[in-house]
Amino acid sequence: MELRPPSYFALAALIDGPLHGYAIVRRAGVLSGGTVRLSTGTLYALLERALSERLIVAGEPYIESGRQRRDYTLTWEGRSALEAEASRLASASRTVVGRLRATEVPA
Amino acid sequence: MTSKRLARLALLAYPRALRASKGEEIVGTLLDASGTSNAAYARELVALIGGGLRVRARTAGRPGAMRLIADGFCYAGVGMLVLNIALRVGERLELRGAGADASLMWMLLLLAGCLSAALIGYDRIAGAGALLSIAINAAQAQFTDLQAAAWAVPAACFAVMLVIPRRQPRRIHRAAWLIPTVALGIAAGGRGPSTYLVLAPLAVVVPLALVRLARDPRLAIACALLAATIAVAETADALQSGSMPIGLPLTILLFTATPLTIAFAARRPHPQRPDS
Repeated sequence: MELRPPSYFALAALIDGPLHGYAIVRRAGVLSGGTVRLSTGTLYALLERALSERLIVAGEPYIESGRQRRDYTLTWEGRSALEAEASRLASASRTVVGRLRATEVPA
Repeated sequence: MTSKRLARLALLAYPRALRASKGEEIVGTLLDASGTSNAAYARELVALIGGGLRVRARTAGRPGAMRLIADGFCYAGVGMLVLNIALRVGERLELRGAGADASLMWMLLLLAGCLSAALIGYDRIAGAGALLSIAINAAQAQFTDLQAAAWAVPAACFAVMLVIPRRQPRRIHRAAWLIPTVALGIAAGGRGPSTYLVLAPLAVVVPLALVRLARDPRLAIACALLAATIAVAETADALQSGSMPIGLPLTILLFTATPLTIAFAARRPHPQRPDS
């Protein structure tokens, strides 16, 4: 299963522990170096998908600063999916870098 | 209209159940993410509607309870064909050289054709053929009421295969499952205690179905239907031969388990697509 960058970074945001929706948006932005800016619509569409695929689980709702929140936790399946995607990206990167180096023309 | 109200209006793009459980949480996240910028708020609103429609599209693609139950009946139909073929192969071996009539061979060929069709992906053909086999059986033998009842569940399964077949890609190589089916019949061989060997695959399938029950109840429905059929057939045979129907309590238990499993499936439609 291939994870697209928004899902990849949203799930990666949960590696260090459970986070609520807005915290995921911020953490995914930091982890991606600002390249992934999740909108609320994208976030909840991908969270629903990840929930149905059991990559994450949702906690009970609670109130924080007058907002209703809910924490999401990465499951074992979610970690495996992230690991598989990270290896895929690393392997794809190695292949391209290797070919670029091999065909490098000395300046 | 306040920004919160407008966001709640945009939430209408989401399915009702999700709105009820996470509506406030989504609105809260949207307001946090927009900060004080009107442009960011407008972008968030548009994305919220898009996200809601995406969730709706995916939810609509999920199989409903009816589809899951129908698939369960179809799987049970396939299981009944496997057991029927294995039993008849054993019977044929036993009767070899002792005046085995041609009708048994023809019945075996018809059932093998049905099973191949179902395995490859032609449930309608399999269901029609299997119903025909029941009709031939009924015409040939005088059934007691209970024996006739024992055919009711298989008939229902085959009728579902004919009317609401499984949606699956056609794969000719799956017909190879006929080989272990025939091998099972040869191993079980005829009447006697070894006949029960044909039920050996259930020892693997039933625990698997129970493990998968919460995620995918189709196999559990199939097992419940198969078990109920076997229990009724056993009871009918025991009653006819005049022995104590030890299967009767089991039959009642399994007949109770079947609707319970189906009700469970109906209550909890599974999010996975069939054959995904």
